[in-house]
Amino acid sequence: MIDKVIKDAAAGSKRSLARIITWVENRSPEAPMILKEIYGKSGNEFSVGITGAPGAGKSTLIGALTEVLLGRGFRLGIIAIDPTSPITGGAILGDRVRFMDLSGRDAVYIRSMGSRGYRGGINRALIDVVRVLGAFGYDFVIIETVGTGQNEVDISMAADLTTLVMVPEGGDEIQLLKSGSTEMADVFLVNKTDHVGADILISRLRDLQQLRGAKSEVFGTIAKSGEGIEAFAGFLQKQHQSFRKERRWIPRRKKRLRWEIANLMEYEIADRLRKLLDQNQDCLDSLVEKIIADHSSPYVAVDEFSRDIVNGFENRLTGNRIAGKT
Amino acid sequence: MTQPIRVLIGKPGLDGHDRGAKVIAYGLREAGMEVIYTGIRRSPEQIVSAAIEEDVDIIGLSILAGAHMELVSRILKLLRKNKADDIKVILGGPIPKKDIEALGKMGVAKVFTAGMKMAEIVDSIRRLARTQISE
Repeated sequence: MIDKVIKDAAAGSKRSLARIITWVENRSPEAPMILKEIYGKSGNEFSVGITGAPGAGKSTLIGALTEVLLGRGFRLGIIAIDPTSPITGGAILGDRVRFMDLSGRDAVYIRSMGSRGYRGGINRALIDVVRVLGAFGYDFVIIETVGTGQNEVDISMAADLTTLVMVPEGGDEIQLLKSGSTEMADVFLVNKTDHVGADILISRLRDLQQLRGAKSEVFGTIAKSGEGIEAFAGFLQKQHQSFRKERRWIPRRKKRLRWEIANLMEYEIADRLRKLLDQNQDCLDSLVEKIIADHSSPYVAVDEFSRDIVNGFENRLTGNRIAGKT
Repeated sequence: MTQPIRVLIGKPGLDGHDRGAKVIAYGLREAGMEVIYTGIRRSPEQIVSAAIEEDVDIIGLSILAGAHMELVSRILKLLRKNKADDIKVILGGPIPKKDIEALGKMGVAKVFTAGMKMAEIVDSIRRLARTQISE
């Protein structure tokens, strides 16, 4: 059944692709199999994070940018992330409203995702959803994130290039120097350049880029009218081209892989352990008896019980480093 | 982890009074659902293609201007054509009683008229949603 869904998605069925994304997002039982299957086909997608405070015009920008890139023959995936209520677990995913004209175009796939509680840390599902879109032929994946303006550190893990969108009304220069959003942005984009203060902001940002030793420009746009969008699109296209040349292993992707390996190890092992504990309740019972009989403590009992295992793990990890292979 | 129910809320056709749709959207969020809010003046094609990409459980339509028979029929046809008719369609608005039965026969899962309570709507959606907790 899963094979058929993959096949249909590869043949262009958005319905099947949507199901795959749902499985991956929800970490369904189907997900691991699918991810293993498609991993080899993914990696050619270039992911662009678009972040910034609410009202900066991210959605409008993405809509305009998509039109231009479509015109240049690219296929685009757009993932729009809105905050999930920490109280109810629900979310209003309303970014899509601003680019409804893109609905139904074959070369665009738009998906809305709730942050689902991942705020400081990256939502692992996001990285996998990007991969899925890449595996099924989308050249760019644009990720619009929850825009608090100051806490966007996670997007740089999922995106190959992160753009911080600002508007002239967004506060003074001290705001710029605050760590977080400006630290992890590769590119700055000032939207609504028809507003007062735009030139000053752009100039400050150029200074900041120089301070950081960053090479990229600061872009100015009026997303509503389309001004400046072609230039930004051209820049992204160049990035995409040079990325294709180097193939997949740019430093950021290595960083992402490393993060994923550590996370998988931790998660997989913890999950396995939890299941084993469930299935071996009598072992736990006997440990309890042992603690009582020996007048010892849970700390001692567990340490004694697991020492070999932990040592074995350590040997495996250090052994790998010395040997230089997995 | 229980997966949230995903509902698309949209207003097809020309009617622009979206207060009702917004109230529902917020109510569903309070009930822990993910609401893809697609706004006003959407074509049936836009609504269906969004519903498919977002893999929603339910499409919630708000139609106040009286064109419900035509619009709903087109939407249901498009869902069938795209093999997405497992997505359930519900409708809110001042729908005349005589039409409610016809809509049901067409394939609408439920019609909500004025006066129905949020809790009732949430409950109906939960029962209709494809996503079962056991999945």
